[in-house]
Amino acid sequence: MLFNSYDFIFLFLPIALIGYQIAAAFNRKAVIAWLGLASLGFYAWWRPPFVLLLLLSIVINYCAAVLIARNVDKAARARFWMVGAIVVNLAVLGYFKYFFPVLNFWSAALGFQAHWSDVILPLGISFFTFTQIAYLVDLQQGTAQLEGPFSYLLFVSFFPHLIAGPILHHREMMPQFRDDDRRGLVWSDVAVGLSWFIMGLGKKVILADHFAPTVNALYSVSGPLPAVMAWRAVLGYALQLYFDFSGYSDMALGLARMFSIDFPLNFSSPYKATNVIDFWQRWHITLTRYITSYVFSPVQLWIGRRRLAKSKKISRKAMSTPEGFASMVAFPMLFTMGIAGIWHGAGLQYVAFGVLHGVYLTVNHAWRLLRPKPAPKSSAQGPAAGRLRRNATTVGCVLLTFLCVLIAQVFFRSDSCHQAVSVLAGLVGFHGLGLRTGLPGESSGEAAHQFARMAVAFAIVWFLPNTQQILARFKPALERTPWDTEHGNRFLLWSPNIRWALVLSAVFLGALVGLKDPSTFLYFQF
Amino acid sequence: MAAASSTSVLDSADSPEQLRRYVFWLLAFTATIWLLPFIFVRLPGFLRWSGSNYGSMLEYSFASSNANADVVIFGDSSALFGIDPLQMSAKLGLKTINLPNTMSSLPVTDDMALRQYLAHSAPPRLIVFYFAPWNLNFSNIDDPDKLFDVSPPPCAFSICPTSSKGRVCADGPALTFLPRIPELACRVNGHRDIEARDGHGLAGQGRHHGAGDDADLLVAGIHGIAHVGGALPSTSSRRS
Repeated sequence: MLFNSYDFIFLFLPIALIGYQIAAAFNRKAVIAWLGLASLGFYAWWRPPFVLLLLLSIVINYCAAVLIARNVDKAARARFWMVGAIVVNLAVLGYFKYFFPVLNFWSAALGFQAHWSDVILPLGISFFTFTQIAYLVDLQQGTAQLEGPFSYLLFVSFFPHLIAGPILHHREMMPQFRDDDRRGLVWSDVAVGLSWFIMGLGKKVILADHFAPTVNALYSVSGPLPAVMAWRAVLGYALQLYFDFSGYSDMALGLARMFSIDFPLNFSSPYKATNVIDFWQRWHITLTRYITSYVFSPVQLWIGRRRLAKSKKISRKAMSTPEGFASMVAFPMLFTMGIAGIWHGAGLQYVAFGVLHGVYLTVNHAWRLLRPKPAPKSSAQGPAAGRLRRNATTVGCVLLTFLCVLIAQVFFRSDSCHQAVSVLAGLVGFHGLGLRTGLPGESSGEAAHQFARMAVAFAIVWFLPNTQQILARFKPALERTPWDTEHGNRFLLWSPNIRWALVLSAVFLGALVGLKDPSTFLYFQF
Repeated sequence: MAAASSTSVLDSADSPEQLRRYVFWLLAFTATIWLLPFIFVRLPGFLRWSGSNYGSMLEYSFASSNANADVVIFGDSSALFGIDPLQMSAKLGLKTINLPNTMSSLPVTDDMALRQYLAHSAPPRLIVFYFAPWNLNFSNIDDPDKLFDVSPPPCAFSICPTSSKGRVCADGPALTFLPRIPELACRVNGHRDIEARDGHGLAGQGRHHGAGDDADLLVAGIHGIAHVGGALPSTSSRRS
């Protein structure tokens, strides 16, 4: 079921809220059971048989968790069950997500005619697989405790995060499930959650879906794109992806909040990032956290131990040498981002996307480690000049970061590396400027209108506060970010008053009208 | 379950009453404005006041129940302007009805008119789905001649497990619309076939929206045919 569908908004959500309120009259277990049941119903709505796969995954992993917990004193046994469960999880994920694409890739590469149809990818399989793997790893390492089966089921399947994240961590969720102080609907949470959901719905339906047809048409053009069309495609997709994922994240966090559950923040104005490290702390934040904890850090730790065994240093100073930097930063970073690329899909373009970001991050870390220290401020420079210089530097950094992100997104969006390279060549004018070229059937001013609409959208992206900043008074997410406090305009701070009710009502109506042909979220495919 | 709420209440000076009122007004505004048009269009004389040239025609789709036609045409304005049910009735010798829709009305009403008709009429022998080649998608007018040149045609969904042909083929945004048809057709009867057409003929017709004047009788380029039962004359032989 899609969040942006009439079925969800007018049927599922009201039933889930009413059922939650009724269950709250009984006890905490009833609430957890109801939310778990509703979440399974939510998943089954898409394709009922696949809920069996989800349930099977939960049952197998929970059994593994029980076995690990029972053997936590016997490290080898606990490790055996953990590794076994991870292998099963990855095998299932590999079958559904990678097996046939890889088979077809090699079939084509080796010149065979055979082509196998892809199997249907179960929605959210990556998300519920990785959530469970993290739990098992932490359980084996003694940093998690065994939960009851219904709490575990809800932790994995809670519908606001089930399909496309955020990737939850048990340490954040389980205490909330255990909290028995207050149950039932809380008006402050319903008001904040509903408002956040509507803001996200507006981003998705009114903004992201608006750019989708043109972007799809441009990326479907057979043959090279001239510069103007290539820029339209690339900038349009940057906006589509931004508002799509941002809208989804807002909806997911808002929905959870309606049930008085806080999710971790997943999206925080990434295009305002001043460098690529900053970008990944704002874009798909929970994925960054996940791959840092469960891929990057273990690899870095393993390398550190190997270096120590060889009597090599692992200090910051050692990291600043070319050899130390290559082994302790560059290799783990490229490896991790390569994995992150593959996580996004089976295709060389996704690997290229990941590796490209790995290179960006490596360069960024190298710059931080190796750059010369800034010169002391000149006394001749006044405060105004200094501020101007700082602002200009910030704008330059934001634009440079955005350009790097744009280039990687071309690989992310393209059907193949070949197409990505062609689009990139188009961006720099290899296929001509194409000032008068447009899509077939497009009126002459359409391209200009499209650029104007993109300018408005970029103004929203860069100059307006994001939704968690607007809702900052009510601490909408689990944690505050450093950027939450940047918001200074009190006029744009959300308050439960008539003005905001009118504004969000208009957004809600606009979105409801646009819902007649609901589209999926881009991150659903991952 | 209230880790969030305790913090939010602390952060906020707003009373629960104020928050409750806010939620009420938000939903009330939305519901009122959302429902107003539905009330408005039900007012007597709306069709006359609205100034729409299409209102009466679209209304006809919903008011033509119990026509008990043998052939039902359902499509966008290409069908509306391109098919004359009187001519078709005369040439086929079968009672034909055209349920008018337009490209703008279909995304709103979906297949409601067809469902309404079938719920209150005898099952037709043939349902013709007749859509312009851009398939309700304006950005899809790249090359009309190639629009349906998809080999094999993308099969969208299963129809009936018992059906001999079993699948209907459609492409483009029509996919969002057509999947509703099978269940509806299954309700009409237990033994109908679905036949896929590639629509090459329609590609040419679609260049000129109002091709009715010089169009063939109709059947060139129909999008898909739900053959509901009983023997029908061959469609191809009926092209003039």
